[in-house]
Amino acid sequence: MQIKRPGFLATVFLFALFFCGYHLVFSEPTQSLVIVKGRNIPPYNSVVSAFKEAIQSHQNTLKIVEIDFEEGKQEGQINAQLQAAKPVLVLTLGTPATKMVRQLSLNAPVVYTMILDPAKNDILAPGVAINISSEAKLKELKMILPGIKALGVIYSSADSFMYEDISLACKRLGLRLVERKIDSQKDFPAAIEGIFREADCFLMIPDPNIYPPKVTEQLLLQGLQRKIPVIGLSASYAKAGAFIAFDCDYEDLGRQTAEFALRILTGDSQAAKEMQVTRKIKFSLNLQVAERLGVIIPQEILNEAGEVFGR
Amino acid sequence: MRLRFGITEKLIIVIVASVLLLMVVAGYYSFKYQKNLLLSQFDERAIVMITGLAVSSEYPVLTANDKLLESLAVSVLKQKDVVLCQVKDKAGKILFHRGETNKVRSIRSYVASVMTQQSAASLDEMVLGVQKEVKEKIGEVYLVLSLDRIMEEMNKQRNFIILLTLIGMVLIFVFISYFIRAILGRPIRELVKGTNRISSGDLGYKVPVKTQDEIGVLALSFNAMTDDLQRVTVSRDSLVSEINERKRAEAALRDAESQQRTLIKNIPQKIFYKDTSSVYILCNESYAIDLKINPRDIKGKTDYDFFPRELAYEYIKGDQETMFSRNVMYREEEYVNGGQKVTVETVKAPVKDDAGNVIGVFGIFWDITDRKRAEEELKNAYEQLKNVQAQAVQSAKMASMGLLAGGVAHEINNPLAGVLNNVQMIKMLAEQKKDFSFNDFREILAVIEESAARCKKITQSLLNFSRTSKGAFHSVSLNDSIEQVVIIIGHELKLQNVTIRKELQPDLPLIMGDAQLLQQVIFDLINNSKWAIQQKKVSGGEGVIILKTAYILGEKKIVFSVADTGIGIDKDNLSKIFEPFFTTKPVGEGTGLGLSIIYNIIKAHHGNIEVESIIGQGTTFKIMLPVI
Repeated sequence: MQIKRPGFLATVFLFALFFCGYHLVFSEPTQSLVIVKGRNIPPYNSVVSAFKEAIQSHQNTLKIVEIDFEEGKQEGQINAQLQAAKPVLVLTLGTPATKMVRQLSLNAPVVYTMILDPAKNDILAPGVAINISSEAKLKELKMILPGIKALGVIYSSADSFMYEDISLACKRLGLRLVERKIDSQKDFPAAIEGIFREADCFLMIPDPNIYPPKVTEQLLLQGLQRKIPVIGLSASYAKAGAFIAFDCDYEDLGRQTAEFALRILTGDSQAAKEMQVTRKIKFSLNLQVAERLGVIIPQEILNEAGEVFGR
Repeated sequence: MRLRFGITEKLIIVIVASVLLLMVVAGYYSFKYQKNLLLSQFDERAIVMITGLAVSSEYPVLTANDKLLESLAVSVLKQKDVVLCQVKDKAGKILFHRGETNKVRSIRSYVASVMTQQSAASLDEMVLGVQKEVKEKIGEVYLVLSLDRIMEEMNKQRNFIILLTLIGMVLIFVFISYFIRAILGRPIRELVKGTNRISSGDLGYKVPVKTQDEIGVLALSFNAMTDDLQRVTVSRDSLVSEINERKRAEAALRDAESQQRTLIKNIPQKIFYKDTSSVYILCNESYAIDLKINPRDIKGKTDYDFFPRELAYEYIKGDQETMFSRNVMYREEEYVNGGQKVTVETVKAPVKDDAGNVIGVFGIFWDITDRKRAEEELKNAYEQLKNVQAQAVQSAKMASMGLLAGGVAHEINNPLAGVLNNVQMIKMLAEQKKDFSFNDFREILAVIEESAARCKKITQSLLNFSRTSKGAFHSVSLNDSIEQVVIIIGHELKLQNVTIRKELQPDLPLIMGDAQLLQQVIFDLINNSKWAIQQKKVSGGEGVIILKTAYILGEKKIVFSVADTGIGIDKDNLSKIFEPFFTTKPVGEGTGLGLSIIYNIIKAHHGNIEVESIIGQGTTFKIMLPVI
């Protein structure tokens, strides 16, 4: 077949060339990383910020997309966003977001963080839990309150693993453990009464069934009345009236999670099976409570504290 | 017996009843408000208690802490009015129950839920303290409160309000009664008293005005009304008096009318009354007799029904002229009475209504035929008398002339002697053929001329004096008339040793008069003065007659006076001297007509004559005459 119109072929060639050039210049990066943030609260934001910074310092071509999760309302939308983003990795923060994302059929690995005792919620690796080892807490506590000898703990049958951890830590640190195992909240008044008579410090463990808000309030109140320092679960407890509380270092948690995610992205098969815990903790103090308890906090301790309430 | 209330009592009853009703209603609503307020406060207190108990019970209910729950509930039970308290868990199990309601009469129940914050959904939420605010009901609190105390309180308040209302009612009743009696009752009593006084006839009574409010205005109006009433009463009395007066006047009028009718009926004059068309309305008896008609039948007739056509026309013409001119008209007319023509004097007057419109003509006429005849005779007699008087004057004048004749002759004789002497001298010179110059001749002729002129003047004066008056007035120089009379009488006076002194004002204005008559007056006055002087000379007096004229500019009159130094006139005779035939001269020396004629002449000249006299000193006649 003889080509009779060479101008037509030239025009087609020019169009093809323009199209290819535009695609090369203006097309988006093909790889993305999606962060599904369970709540818009400062600890989560600190983790996300540190995570993004750490990721982008190693993978600057990776596009990071943030999705705010609101439980029960945006599952379909989040699923659509995740499917459209075709992420190479999904980071979830908090138990509800992680549970929801893990239910979706994604081709990307889902890494969680900001979850305490993920196993209790049937959440498996990979991820970085915010569990803090009891020994780490008690070591810090002994530095602040070197005179404590007996540590009180109330737990239930659901907290056996944690109780064991505390028990071991006490043995290691030479503390007597005054424990009460209760089956319901109705046993709490008697249990706390017994513990406060024997222990000179009380450690809360994260169990919603033992510590509903009103019970926590009563615990903090009675601790003050009986001059028993109560060790809270986080800075918010210290703010509410606990003597001291231990938290993760959330910025470091973000960096730790980023490092963990990079290992997964680089194909570290071992990492995909790992469940890490936070590697760095910080403590918060309530000076007003300390004053009421008659505890004098040295300045160097105050300098190390993450947050100090009641100044 | 039916009570009778005054306006004050009625007003008090109405106002007090209104205020009482208002107070009762206000008291009722106040009590109702107080009751609701107490119940509301009661509810609020109960709600505060049960809410506090429910909040406080959260922990003991949550932990089934019976002791704590009991301590809380007992503390609530100790509160006033709380008779029962019960706490249940969410399964309905009673955790606490104490109290009973049998001993109280009325109760009110309250219930509140015991709520708690739900536990965190996850451990991480718990640790972070970010669990949602979800409340969960974990039990119920019941409170039963007794209303007995509050009811008792309300009853006390009700009784207090009732007592207060009663006291207020009494106070208001007393206050309003006093106030209305003071403000309204007293002035109204004053008004009632005033009304009674006025009704009893005391129209001069005045209600005291003590305030400027409506009552004061009412009192003022009442006083004004009594004033009006007094005036009206006075007016009524006046009216009654006026009516009586009018009745008297009407009676008098009737009497007068009767008298007038009698008068008109009996009056000999003919009287009629016609309308504007000269149709008779009425006439009197006298006229009706002439017309041979009954006076009642005159109405509707005209003059054509009674008189010849020409005469009737003249009468009606006279009627119309009278009405047209609107003035009273007098005329003499011919009248036919019994077929005989007589002369009547008719007076016709227009009759006007109150608005001044002419509505007819009133006429009265009477027969003057006899009077006319008498007047004619009197006129003839007067003419004869005038002639006689003129003749008498002339005779007197002639008599005077006779008296003067000697004097006049002597007066003329002297110039005639001069003429004669000079003529004789010329003749003698002519006979002696002596030469004498033309100048000498002219001097002699001048003397002759002067003497002849003097004679002529004397004779002319005499002629003028003797001339009979023609009764016509001309412009006359009074000074000239005096001079001419003096010429005539001058010599005679000299002979009688009577000096004439003339004080005549030069340029005296002329007067309108009869020179002959005026000369007669001057002559007679001088002659009288001469006689009076002569009478005095007999007794040794001297004689001077002063003739004086003067012009009184302001009155435009000439005053001519003749004053003598004669014997004078007795005061008793002064008022009689101008009467005819009055004289004090002896018989044969005077007629008694001289001064009477002088008086008439002066009056004919529109002048006046006066006399002043002092016995023994003289008499002055003063004549005033108008100038032209």
